[in-house]
Amino acid sequence: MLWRMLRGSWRHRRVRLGVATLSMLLGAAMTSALINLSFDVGSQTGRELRAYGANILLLPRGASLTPGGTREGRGIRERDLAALDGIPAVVGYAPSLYLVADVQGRPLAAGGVVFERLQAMSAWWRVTGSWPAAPDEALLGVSAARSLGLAPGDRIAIGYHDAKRELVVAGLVETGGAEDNQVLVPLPVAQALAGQPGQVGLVQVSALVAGQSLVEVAGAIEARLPDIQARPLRQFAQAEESVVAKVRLLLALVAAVVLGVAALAVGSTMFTAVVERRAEIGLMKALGAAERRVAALFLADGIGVGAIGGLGGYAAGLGVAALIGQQVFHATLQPNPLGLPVTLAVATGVALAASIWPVRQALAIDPAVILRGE
Amino acid sequence: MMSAVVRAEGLTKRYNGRVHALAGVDLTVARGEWLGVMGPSGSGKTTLLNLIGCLDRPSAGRLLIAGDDVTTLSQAELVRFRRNHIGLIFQQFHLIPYLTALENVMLAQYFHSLADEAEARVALERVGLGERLHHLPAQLSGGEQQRVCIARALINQPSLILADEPTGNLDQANEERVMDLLRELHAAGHALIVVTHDPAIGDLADRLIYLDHGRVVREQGLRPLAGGALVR
Repeated sequence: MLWRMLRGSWRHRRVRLGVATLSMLLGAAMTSALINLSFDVGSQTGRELRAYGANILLLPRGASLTPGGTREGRGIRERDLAALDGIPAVVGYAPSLYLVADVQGRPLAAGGVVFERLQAMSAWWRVTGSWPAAPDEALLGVSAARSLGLAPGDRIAIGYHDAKRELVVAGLVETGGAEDNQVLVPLPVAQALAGQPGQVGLVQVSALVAGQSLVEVAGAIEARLPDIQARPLRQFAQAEESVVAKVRLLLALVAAVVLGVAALAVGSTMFTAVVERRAEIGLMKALGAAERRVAALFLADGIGVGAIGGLGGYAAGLGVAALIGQQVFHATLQPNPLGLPVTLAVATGVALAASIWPVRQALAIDPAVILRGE
Repeated sequence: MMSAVVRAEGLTKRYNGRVHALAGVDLTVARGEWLGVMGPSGSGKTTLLNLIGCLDRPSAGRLLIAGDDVTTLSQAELVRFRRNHIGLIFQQFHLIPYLTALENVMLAQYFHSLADEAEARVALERVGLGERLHHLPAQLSGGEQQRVCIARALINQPSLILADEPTGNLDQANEERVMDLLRELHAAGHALIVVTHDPAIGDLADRLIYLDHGRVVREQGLRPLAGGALVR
């Protein structure tokens, strides 16, 4: 009988309930989108941030950092770095070997780097000219270029002890950091000048922190490379975590506001229903309806609005999340397996909570109204 | 003396502590008796029906229905008592607009215990609506709606049927039909309390009381009850 009453009531009040369900659908869509985005936003945001530099430095065990790189001495074997490819959180790394060279007759920090790897991790660097592509090309810091009077296309002589090489300046780099006063050369050139073939002094690692801390990633690297110490750059990690946390908080606040509005819409629809169905409720009570049966009718309305709105909202939210994934992160978001149950639970819970006050109003209706003709 | 289905002693209802809607009414209704209640608007007829129907509580006095003192019952017990003992017929029918005639009758069963479609069908056939079971109230005439209301009042076999102006919204033909049904109920042994402005309906009662300003101002025994007793 309850089902017959609900079916009849819903058919009779389909427009009002439709509006309430639509409100709940919008709220649920936001919730669903946010659950799916929140699941992926950490890794997606992290991936975006990874284009802005390393967050872990690898040094030979026992070495310390100097302004230009590591203290000279025992290095890292370049071939050992292949082990980094087996760590899922590591999205990129750039090995380097620094030395203080004689450049055009002046002492200057020269860094041997793998340009393709460095470029992938240095999206914000401004390069005038081009990134070096040939084995005899170099990238010169803008301050160094100014003091040496060099420009892209000029030749540059680099010496270290007795070794000498001549390279072509492919471009000038401006980072606002130490690189502005350095010359970056192909790693094999630096290794040859230093007489340390196959050795690097420092590796910048870019690691995703979604799902695990930077310290854990550093631990995983050290486990695979026992002769290396991995130093997390805490300020980067904290900034990243802070950005991700803020994005999540923003999404949660938006969801809360939208759900609050949906709850108001459902609550007002239910309250209007109680006012409009005053005589009907009075009749039910006059016929001997127990309070729980009257409450069940209205709570079933709430559950219906929440469940239908939740289901529709989940589907709509998936679409919204996919759109945001494409537009903002240029990536396909994976649906969160918790999305459907959580969206349904939130939508139904909010609709039920919004129904509590109207239900209390319904239960307070005096059955005597039915005979008084009110 | 026949056993009483309703016994009211000093039944009083005050609103806001001062306005006396009912002022110390003493009343007894025997099993199988038809009591008519008449009086001008505001005389306390509906208040009396509300109290006897357990829809409201008296401010003072005692009220026994089917032997139980309903003034001592809790709210939940009062609801339970109402669905077990009272059948209500309204002037404005009060059918649920989105339920069919059959479902409206089943609603009273559902609130009482379990909805039984076959039983509800028989009740509607009894009031001559066997062909209109699946019609919505809006598809029924006023007389037909009132007959659905009567079937609903009867479905749980109450000890007492209360009717508030049962023909007030009906044309002559439908009024006759409803009056016939009330006669049938009476003949079947149901106790009836019928509030009416219509002397023709009042004349059908075994006994008629007149209310004014919340008091019984006149009582008129129209015919003896079965067994010859004239109940006061």
